[in-house]
Amino acid sequence: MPMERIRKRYLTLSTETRSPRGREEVTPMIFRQFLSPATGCASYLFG
Amino acid sequence: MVDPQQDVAPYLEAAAQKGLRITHVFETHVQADHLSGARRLAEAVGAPVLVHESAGVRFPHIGLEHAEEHEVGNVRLTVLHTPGHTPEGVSLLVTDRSRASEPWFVLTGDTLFAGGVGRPDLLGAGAERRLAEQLYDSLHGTLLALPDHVEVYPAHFGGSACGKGLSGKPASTIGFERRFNPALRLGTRADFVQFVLADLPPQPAGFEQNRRRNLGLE
Repeated sequence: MPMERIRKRYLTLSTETRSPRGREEVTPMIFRQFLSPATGCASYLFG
Repeated sequence: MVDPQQDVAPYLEAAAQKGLRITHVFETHVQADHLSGARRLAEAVGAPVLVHESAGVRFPHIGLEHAEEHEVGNVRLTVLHTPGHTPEGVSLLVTDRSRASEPWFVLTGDTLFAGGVGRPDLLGAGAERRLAEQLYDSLHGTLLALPDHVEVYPAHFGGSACGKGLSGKPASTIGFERRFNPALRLGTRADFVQFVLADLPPQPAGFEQNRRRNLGLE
């Protein structure tokens, strides 16, 4: 079944390079919301 | 990854771009409106499919239980069993521990949408009323127990046949929905059940077949 190209929205939810305590390096969280306007479906990739 | 669609290429591309390794493929429920890409993506990346233990899927998976937690780097996911749209529906409460020790957002699947809630009639077979009552309990007993600032990311937005009154905006907050979602402003369970079962359009063609294929029955 052909799929309509999925639009995606990219958000960087954290731009911190240090923890709230400031003692350790942390990796910013990545969050992507994939939207399919044809079906009204949303998928998520984050971590 | 949560609720992937059949075309998994965009997810693989996005993960590669950011150097992410997909380690979990969650399904918030067994979808009926489209074919899931969960098994395809799981095979592509060597990750398990995770779905609520009550789903009854016929393919290799990990069964989720209410309140269990999964750690993915700095991210913690807490499984909330939120039946109603379907019996196996779950929401995933997410804490980004690089920001805070408290949850930041919740993926609500087809339980709570921006402007609506999941329709409880898609299983048919007279299960509508029982599921509508479960939906009320999932919303008022579980999701609305979360703080108002928690963001809501549902599995659908305007254009989907899985609920009525959905906003075209694909995100919200618990607080906004608590105040302005029509289905959440009804005081009693009986009023809620009557509301969610009223004026439902017929189940679109293909839903039952999609569900059977997503269960691994075909």
